[in-house]
Amino acid sequence: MNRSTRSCAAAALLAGALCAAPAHAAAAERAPCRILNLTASDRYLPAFVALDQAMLDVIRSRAPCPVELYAETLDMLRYPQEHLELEVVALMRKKYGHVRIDVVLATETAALDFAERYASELWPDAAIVFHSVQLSALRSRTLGPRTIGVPVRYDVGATLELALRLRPETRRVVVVAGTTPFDRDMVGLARKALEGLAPTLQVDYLVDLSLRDMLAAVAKLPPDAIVLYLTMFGDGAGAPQVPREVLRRVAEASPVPVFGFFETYVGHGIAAGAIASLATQGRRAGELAVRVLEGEQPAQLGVQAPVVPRCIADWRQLRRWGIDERLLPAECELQFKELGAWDRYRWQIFAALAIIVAQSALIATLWVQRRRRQRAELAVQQQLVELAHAGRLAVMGELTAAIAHEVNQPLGAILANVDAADMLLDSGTARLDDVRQILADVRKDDLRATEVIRRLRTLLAKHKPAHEPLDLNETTAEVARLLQAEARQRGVELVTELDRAAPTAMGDRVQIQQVLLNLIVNAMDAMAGTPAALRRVVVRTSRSAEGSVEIAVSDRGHGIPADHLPKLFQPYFTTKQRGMGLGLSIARSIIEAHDGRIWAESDGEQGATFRFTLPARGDRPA
Amino acid sequence: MSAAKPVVHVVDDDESFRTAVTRLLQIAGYEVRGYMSAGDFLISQPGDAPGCLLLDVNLPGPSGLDLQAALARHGVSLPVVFLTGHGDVRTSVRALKAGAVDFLTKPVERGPLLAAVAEALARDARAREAASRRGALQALYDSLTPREREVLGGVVAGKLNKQIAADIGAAERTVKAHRAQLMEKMGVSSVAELVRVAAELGLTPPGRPLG
Repeated sequence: MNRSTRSCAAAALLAGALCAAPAHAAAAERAPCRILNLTASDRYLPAFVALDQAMLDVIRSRAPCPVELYAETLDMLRYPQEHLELEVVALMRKKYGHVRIDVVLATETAALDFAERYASELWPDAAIVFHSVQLSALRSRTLGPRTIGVPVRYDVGATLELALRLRPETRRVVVVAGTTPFDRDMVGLARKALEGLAPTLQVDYLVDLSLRDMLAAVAKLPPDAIVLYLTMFGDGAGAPQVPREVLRRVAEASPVPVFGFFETYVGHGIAAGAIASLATQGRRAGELAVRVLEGEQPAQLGVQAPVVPRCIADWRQLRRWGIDERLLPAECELQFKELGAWDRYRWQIFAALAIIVAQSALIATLWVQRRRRQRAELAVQQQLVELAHAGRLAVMGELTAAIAHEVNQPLGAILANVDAADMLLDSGTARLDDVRQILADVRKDDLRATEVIRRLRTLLAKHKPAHEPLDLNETTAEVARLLQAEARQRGVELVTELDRAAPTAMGDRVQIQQVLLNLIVNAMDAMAGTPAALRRVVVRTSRSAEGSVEIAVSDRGHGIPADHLPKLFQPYFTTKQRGMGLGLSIARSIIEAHDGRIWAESDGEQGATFRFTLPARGDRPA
Repeated sequence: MSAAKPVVHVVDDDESFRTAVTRLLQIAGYEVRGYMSAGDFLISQPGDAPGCLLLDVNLPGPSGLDLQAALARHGVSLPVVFLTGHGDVRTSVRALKAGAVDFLTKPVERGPLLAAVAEALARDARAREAASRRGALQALYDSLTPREREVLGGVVAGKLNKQIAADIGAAERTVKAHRAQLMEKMGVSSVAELVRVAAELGLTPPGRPLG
């Protein structure tokens, strides 16, 4: 119903045509009701647009008859009536001579005046329903018997009270208004209301200035001032103005809050005000018109009580001036409040939070798993470190004799040299050069012993595996040096064949040396039964087919039985009387931890070769 | 007897140790020669000159023990003092059984080292003296007639002239004459002295002639 009614209303508004509302089928049989909407000033003022909308809505939806709407605009603010009034009346006489108007809706005092003055002549049967007429203006006049309406009360006092509540520090009230008669009425209203309201307040009036001068004056206001903006239909220079536009500029220029009491100002610059709702005014005027159409006598309806102003505040302005919204009266309507993200996106936030929580849980779970795996890997690594260390201790234990020999050689030389020097000095024939030579030798041997100890300590220490570039030729050579004495004691010739083109690998030097130690000692062990002249271990470095480094340790021992080959690297597999059978299994763990491979080949009775490969360091050119 | 100064032969592959020991022994007044290996020593043909060997057990190629055995086989009687970086009991026993003077472990103090070298040289000197004295006695013994040697055997065995005469089928007076003759030839003035000389020559008490 509403839709069709409203579309009819729109059509009626545009064409002034009869509109039959289906909801009032009975009314359709009746003669149409004719309504004239008489406006004194610009009917497109925002206030009137809002008011008319509410008023006409009520009339159209509730009228007991089809409504015919007429509209007349006197536009007296722009065209003072004394110049045109006779012509206007003449025109209207022509227009309405044969039309029976039932209700004249009079907007503002000027329209009311006009209607009352000419109603008997132009619209003799019409009741006059006014609105937007100030209550104060009614006190000084007598209304005709068919004149009724809804007056408006512009509540300067309540607005000022509200302003002082929000800005307690206010010492000065600056009233801004224009120079048209309406503007001056407003100023008079304000002046009356402000008189004696607060003796401590200074009240100034910016009412005769041009718009520009007024704005400049406003811009210089001290912080303890507030602006009370009334209306400005024309400025002091006589230029017509649109009050709401002026308000916008005043609010822009003002260093202090602006207050006002027109509903159309809300959202255009005022911070707050005691404001009579336009929609309520319109609705009540509309209702009054409907009652007349329904047959009630205007005299019985009379003038209605004015619409009570209510507090309305603009949240954005409060924020701009740093005014705490809690200072507002409880019943105050706060408009344009920007909802916080929480108010606006509550469900989205919930959803996002839920997703984040779920994701976090997933991440946490994965992280925990990762940590566990890392810890397990670390434990395995640590075990390898421990095992490798134990393995080194074991293999070094077997080499004690050779190692002692390595250390005792320089120590022996040192002692002999010292004794020699001692005796030389005792003999009294010592030459300084001789003693110096002896000292040089002592020093050299001391360094040699230190170097042996250092190598040993490196091998024996428990250390954190490193991952560093590894020259395997050098690594191999060092192990060979360490084992030379052992080899000699066993009557084994230990030979290295180092390929200078072998690439650098990455890994832990000590662990790789340990693997070499193991393989070489094993090789020497394997040759216990080999004739002395044939005992020979060859350690060979080379570049393998796939570009990695290969190290081969070959002996001329008893070889490896075919059925032992697959078991060699398993823990606890051993063919030796002594030994735990862990050496090769540790070696394999070490090599595999280095991403390498280790395997054995038997040459039958000729001996065996153990080989391992390590990946070449990535950045090394092929 | 050679008048040559005894030489200490140091065989050790560790040059720095060899130098140090050489230096020490030279200051102690010895003639010293150094060798890197058993082979080096053998090639230098030390001959029969007096001296001793200071020998490292761990040598490249043939070991110190191998060299000791080889020298013994070739009748080179230089006394050996072993020096080793790390001595184990088994090796030291083997070395000492084969006649080593001492088995020292590096690092070795001056005292024990010099004592061992002195002992080795003394032993060499004693051996050489014994050898030359034995040679002289042998020459004397070689000058005896077969009959005199028979009588000598009897005297050393503690037999009476009469018993000797019966053994060799000669008159007691003839035995007495042989006896006086051989005492004079051997340069001894008493039977006790003759018995000691015979012992030095390795003549066994039963009086069997030397083979």
